[in-house]
Amino acid sequence: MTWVALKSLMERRTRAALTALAVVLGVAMIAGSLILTDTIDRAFTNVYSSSYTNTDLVVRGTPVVDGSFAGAPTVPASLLPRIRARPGVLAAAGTLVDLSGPSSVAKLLDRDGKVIASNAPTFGFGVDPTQPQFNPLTLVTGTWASGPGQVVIDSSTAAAHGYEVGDRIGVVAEGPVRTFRIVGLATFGDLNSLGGATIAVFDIPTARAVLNTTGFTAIQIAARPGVSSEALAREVDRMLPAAAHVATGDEQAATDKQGVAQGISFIRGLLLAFGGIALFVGAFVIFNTLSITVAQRSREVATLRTLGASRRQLMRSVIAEAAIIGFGASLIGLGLGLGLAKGLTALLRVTGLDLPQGDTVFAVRTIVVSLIAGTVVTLLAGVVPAIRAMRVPPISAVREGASLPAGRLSRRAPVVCLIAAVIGGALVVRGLLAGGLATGERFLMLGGGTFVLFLGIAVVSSRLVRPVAGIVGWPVGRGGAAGALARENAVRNPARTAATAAALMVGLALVTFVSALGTGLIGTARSDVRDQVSASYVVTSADGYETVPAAAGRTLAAALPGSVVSSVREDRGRVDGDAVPVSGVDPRTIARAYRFRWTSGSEPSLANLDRNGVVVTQSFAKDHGLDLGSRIPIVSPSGKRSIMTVAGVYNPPKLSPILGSALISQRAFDATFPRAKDRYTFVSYTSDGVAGLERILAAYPDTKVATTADYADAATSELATILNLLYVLLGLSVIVSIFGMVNTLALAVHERTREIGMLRAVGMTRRQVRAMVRGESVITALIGAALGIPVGIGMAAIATQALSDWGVEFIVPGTLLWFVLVAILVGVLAAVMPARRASRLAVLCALQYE
Amino acid sequence: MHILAGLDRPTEGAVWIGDHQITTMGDNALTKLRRRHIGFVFQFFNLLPTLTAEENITLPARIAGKRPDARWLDEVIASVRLAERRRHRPAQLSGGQQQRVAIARVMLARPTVMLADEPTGNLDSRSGAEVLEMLRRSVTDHGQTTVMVTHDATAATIADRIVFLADGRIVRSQGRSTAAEVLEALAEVTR
Repeated sequence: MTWVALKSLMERRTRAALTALAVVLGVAMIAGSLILTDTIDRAFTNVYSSSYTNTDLVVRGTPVVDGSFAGAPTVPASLLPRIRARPGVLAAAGTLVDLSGPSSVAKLLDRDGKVIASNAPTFGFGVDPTQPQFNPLTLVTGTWASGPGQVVIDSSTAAAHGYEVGDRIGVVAEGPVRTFRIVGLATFGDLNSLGGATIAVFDIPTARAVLNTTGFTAIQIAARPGVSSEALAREVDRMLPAAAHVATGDEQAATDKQGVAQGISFIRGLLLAFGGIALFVGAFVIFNTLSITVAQRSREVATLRTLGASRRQLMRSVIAEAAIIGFGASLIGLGLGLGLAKGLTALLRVTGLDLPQGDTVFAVRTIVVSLIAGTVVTLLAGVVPAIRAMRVPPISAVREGASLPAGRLSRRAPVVCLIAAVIGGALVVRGLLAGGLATGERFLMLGGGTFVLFLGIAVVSSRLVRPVAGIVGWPVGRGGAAGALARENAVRNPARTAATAAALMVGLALVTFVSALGTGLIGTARSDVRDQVSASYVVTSADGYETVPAAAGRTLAAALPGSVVSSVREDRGRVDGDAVPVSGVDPRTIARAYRFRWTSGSEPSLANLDRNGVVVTQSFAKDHGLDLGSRIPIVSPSGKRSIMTVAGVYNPPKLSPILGSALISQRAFDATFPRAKDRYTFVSYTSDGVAGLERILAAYPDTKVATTADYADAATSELATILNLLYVLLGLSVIVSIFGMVNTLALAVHERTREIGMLRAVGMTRRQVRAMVRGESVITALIGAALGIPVGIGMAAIATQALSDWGVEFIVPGTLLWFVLVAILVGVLAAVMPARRASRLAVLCALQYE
Repeated sequence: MHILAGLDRPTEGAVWIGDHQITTMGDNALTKLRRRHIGFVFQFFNLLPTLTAEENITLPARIAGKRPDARWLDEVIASVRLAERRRHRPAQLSGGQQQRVAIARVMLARPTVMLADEPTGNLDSRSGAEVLEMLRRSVTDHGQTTVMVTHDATAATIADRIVFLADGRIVRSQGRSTAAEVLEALAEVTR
């Protein structure tokens, strides 16, 4: 019996293909996300494990404070000869190679003296060329660096910027620019590119000088054959100082990868969520198309009933149709996912995430997840139409225009769904507002709540179609007879129009939500920055997030005697086991560059910073139970512990505070924090503007000078980029909803063939027919917008409320007008094909159509 | 006719097909009954447009999960003179041919009763005559009980027994008649 369904599916290939497309995109997104993140993950695994080639054991410094700008502490150089002396050790080498932390960072300059690479790592390595078996780098041409003036750079950077062996190149790390001669080109591991990363390789003593460090970041050990690494590890462990540990190469590679792995799984979750949204929207399309086809085929279905088909057989055949569409679409989606993975890589690169590339990973899990997700979603969407098919009474075979009986479901549906929408909304609110929830629980609540909310609104909306169409259709209805007919057609079957519009509603609601929340966040962050900084200029690192050598700030201060130049060191320190941002400020100048909002204490309190005082934020004071005069221990990344006395409490904006949670004097900072560098240098006045400051900082190319207003914009530009990324990802679900509208319209045209023939017979022109179909499409799209935009704004208002602690303001962005235009465009696009088909119907055939 | 076929339910009274009272049956039982005992020929043919003539004919058997008897199938197709048209779709067949497919669809299952609802109502007179001949032959050659509803006096001449209905009531019943006799009877009952 099911073969009948399959046969008719084959016959109506175009329709099946259009229906399937709705699922294809969602599955492609899911498959693409998995393939992409698996590929990145594998590439990173390769990178990290190749950094410990031929290494049985690694000795590394143990970080005292997580996420310190100074990186993990180094291990003393004196350890190496003692380790080499152990009988179980075949070979050992010390390196300054740290892929996971900031311990070995040095930036290369291009021929114009500008820093190369913005968002990819910039490595500065020290390797021992006499121990090549441990060296993760492979020399392509030239020799390894030996001596203070020599450097080897990675061949892809050399190729990209026209450097060759023998050229001179500028390198900037802990101090001003230094110039080196390129003596060789190398590649890292078996990957050509570390994803836009630049690498500078020095000999060990040069690397120490460039990186302003001592010892090694790691000692790699190869055990003699027959010596167990466990035993050797225990032996080595006894020789280590407190701030160092020993691990096998694989363990250490996994530890190094942890931060990256978290990042990858976050990206994976994000991309999968958008795939899920696209699938959800696709489910509406499938549901709608199957419902319409079942309704249109009710006579065929009834005939089958008179021929002896049971209800169950009919239900099964609709389900089979859904299963085949779903499975076929999932297969195609899986294939497309491969291409999409490449597209997503490009998309991420545009947003500044240049990732290492390796062979594409096509895991069995990807295949299974994609196929199951696509098929199951389609099947679920097919359940209601299948039940409807089951309910077609045999008598419909002989009755013209027999309509389906209203099931119990549809009579109670509005109430049930209204309740569902309210519960969904409540879940979203609770997920956003309730304190003390685990992140997973919160996301489950948000995702589930949103899902139920949309589903509820989608069903209830069939009741809203008529009034909404009356309003949004008014301008369309004014467009003569065709327009009036379009409006009538749009409300002819409210449930169908509602389901079609719902697909678009979901996409538009989410876009609106993201837009409203994003605009609020950006606006708040920007004004926060402006409110805090009273100086006219802000100097940061080129990317705005790293730190710059303190000498840059001193150079500025010396060059501008008439101005207030206040630099702020920053790093993380440990307080009560938590890593918190600690700033080193200049007590005499900071209040003239930064506006403090005091809770306890006042500007004169800053003088106490020089007497082991600390100024903390209000939330930090609250978390740690501090008051004026309380004493807290701060542990620096090098393990130094200082007891500080609270001299003042201030309350910076929570969303984007400029300074750290704890402010200590620069003198105390420099004395306790290793490799102290500046996060900001504020300049109150200069007669020469930004260009003048840039000239003073010529020796520090990794700096960026901006006016405070420009800095506020730059500080929020990343949020803006993320916002655009989200638009692109949500665009996918809008595209899916276009397919749904094309489908519905094409089916409606098919259904009304006779009617259109009649209209043509009584004098409607082709152009008018097209206008009629287009009008119906635009009204449907506008209904989607009229439902989606308010839902999105409502969600954003709730989210903003949830973030009120962070001072986020609620802004209804002007971009919403664009979304209405997008909806109209969607309507016009979706109508192109069905309108053409309707206008080309031969009048006579249309009238005779049975 | 619809009530007779179990497509519709009567407000009062009962319908028996063979030993089964169909008016009280549930949907599943009714479905099973349709498979064994009822065949329906529609005015508008009701063929599945995506299936070939032969597939349409074997459809009820396949719905019931049975393999049609190949020899009987050939015989049925030959008797409705569609041997050349087995692989054609409904859209490629004339109205008369489509109705013959519908008759063959019923004949293949050999139901207790074949119900024909104005089978010639949508056909020209020549195709109509062919269809009527087929129906008569299935009765004569294969003993297929057939009930036909018609407005056409000529069509009624193939029946062994003619029942006249006026305004929902049986007003007259007579044996095999000529077209003239039928018309005369019609004139009488509607007077």
